[in-house]
Amino acid sequence: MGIVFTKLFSSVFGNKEARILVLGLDNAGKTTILYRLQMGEVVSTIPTIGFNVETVQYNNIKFQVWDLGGQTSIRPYWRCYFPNTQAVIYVVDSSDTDRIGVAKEEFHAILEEEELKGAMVLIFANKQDLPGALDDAAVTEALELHKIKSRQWAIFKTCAVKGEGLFEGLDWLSNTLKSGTG
Amino acid sequence: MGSKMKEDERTEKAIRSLLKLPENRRCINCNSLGPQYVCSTFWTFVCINCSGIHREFTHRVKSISMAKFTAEEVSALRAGGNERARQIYFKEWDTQRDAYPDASNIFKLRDFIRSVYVDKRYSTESNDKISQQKPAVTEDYKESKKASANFLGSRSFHSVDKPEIKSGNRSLKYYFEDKEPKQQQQQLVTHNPKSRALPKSPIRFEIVDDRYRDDGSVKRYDARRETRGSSKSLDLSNNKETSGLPIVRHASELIGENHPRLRVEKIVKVEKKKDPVNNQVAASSNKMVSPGSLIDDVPVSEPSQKAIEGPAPNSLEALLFGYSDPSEDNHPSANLETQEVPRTQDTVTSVVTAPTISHAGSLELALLPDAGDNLSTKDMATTSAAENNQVESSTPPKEPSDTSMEQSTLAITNYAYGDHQEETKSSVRSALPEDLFSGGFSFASPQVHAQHHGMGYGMQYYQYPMATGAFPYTAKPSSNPFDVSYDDTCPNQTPQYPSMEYTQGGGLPLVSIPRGASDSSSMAADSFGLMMASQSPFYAPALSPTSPSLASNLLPGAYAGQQPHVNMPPSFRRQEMNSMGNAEATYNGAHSYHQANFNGYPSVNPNAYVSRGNPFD
Repeated sequence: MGIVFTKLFSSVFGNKEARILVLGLDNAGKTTILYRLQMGEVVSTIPTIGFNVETVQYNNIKFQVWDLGGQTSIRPYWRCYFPNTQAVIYVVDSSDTDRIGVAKEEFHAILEEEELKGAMVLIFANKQDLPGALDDAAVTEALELHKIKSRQWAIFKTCAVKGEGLFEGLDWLSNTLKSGTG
Repeated sequence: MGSKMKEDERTEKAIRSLLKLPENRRCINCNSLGPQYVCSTFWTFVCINCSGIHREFTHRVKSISMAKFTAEEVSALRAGGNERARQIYFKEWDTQRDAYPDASNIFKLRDFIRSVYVDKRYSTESNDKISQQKPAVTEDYKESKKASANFLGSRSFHSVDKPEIKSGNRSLKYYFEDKEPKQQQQQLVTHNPKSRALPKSPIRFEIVDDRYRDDGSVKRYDARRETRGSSKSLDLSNNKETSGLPIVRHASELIGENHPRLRVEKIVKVEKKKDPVNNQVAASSNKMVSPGSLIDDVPVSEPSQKAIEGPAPNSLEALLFGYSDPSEDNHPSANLETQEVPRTQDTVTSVVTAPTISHAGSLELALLPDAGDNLSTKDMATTSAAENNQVESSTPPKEPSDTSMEQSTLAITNYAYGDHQEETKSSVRSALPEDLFSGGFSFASPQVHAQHHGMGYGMQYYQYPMATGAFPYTAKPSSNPFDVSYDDTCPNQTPQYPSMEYTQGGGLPLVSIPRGASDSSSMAADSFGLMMASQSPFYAPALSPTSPSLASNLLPGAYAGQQPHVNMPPSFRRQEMNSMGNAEATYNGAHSYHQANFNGYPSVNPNAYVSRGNPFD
């Protein structure tokens, strides 16, 4: 009963909830982004084992953001978190040109996932502050984003440490979520 | 697919085996056990906290268990590893002066990592000074190293090597010349594995490998210590260039800055009347650096130790060995005594031995907390420190006492809470491999616990004899109290003090005696106090940690030569007393502290001692 009421209430006032996964290679900056979004500050992070989950309220949307560890051996466990996901934030370390190919492969593997068919994709070309970082166009190229079909996606240049680009990305996310799912 | 799996397994196995090397068993930055990450920028093994910080500095980090490594990475890791990185980035690192950061304090850890890897504060900068100071020795070493490197044919890595080896001017130059190549190399190392396409990388790695295999990882590990030790010896005795390893210079350079050590030297040498307050400040600010340095000394002595077995020092040594070995686990600790012995022969004589003892004590301190109740130990340490200070400070009726007291206590506390952790860690580190080594002394570990309870009391008692011993002698020559005392005590007077103490048991009468002596010879007392005060940071802990029995052995031994076993009985008694209750001890500690404040007034002193003595009666 209570649930019904809250649902009603939130639909009236436009409150939505979205389950969001933050994925990407290790050391891409996923955890930093998560906490930057959630607390607005840069936290000192350690390599994530397992996941971090936080809720971020933004534009009347309550994002439940799951930040999953990106190390090679634990990437297979990402799929455990795929069901009921509205959006994936894929974080790329733009300065790690050596592994951009790996990032691309992982990215397209994610797109293949059946459970993520309906999820929209937001790409963060992170670490723009570092010298030698690829810009969004280069990352788009490297990730072969143009191959994405029948899915909403967007790419943003971000710098998690400075907080640049993150909320622009969330803006896009919230707008598409609102328009997409009504 | 199957083959790939196999390959992965193989690489993981290789990395795991690298992880088992003694130098890789601990995080290179914070010394915590069991690093699970590899910093692939420097090819070091780091803990998870440090790995996080490395990432902040955009160093690449990989998890050993959660990431896959390529064969190139494995070989790079084999060529690198903590020891190698240490040689480069911790070249100017001195265990005494520079404590490992507390692993739980992320801010300190970050500053540390920044200074080491980003600012490269310890890598080569001060090379200049050092090299100028001791060109010859280092040169030799470098030469040999170079030769070996050449022999192995690792040109490219040669340059990388340089920084560590470098001691002479030439080497320095080398380093700068090679600096760029080195960086390149580094980059290669980092990037190669990833890009996999670079043709050079495998070759380099292999070369490096060879070289390293030749060296033997364990040896490398030891070598570092030896170097330190040698540097130490250099400082103190100015001649013993046993190993003449690269790090030597920097140690010598340190001398300039490193007050604690300097102090020791000064005291030993004759300088005496420097202003005590200053000395102390330096000591306290340096935070118990000295114990570490002392430890470092040890390794050098190792070879010489056997050769030089003096009679008086020997007994001491033997005792020390028993205790120090288990506690410190490092060869160094064992060597401590030994090293000192050689020095003794070089005119420095007893003074040197005294420091040694103190070192051993300090070692114990570090260990003790680990072994048993941390809190209690720490308390006791402070307490004992306070007491120590009292004794010292009370002796001189002058100004220095008060300040010194406080500062030294401060330092001690510092030591107990901060550095002492480091110490413990280090002991732990060596503990794994060196258990075997110390196995013969297994009795020590159980004893330690019991003993350290007694610390507070033991300290008091033993100090009195010390004081007595020291003062009479100090009085006559204005120079080195220790020297004199040593000479005199060795044969004749040894029995005096211990026997006194022993017979009187209670310690009250004893106390009064030293008091008088000290008061009467104010000058001597002053100097003594100075010495004590300045050393107190490490000296006091040294005493306190040493369990009563150890203390008994050490102190008398140091000052009186060979009475170890005369003193033993009292020590046991003390233990019993201590076992009666820690509360007493703590009470004592507090008490002593108060007294310490009064130290400035000579009249107060007797009271202080009486009150302290009471519980025993």
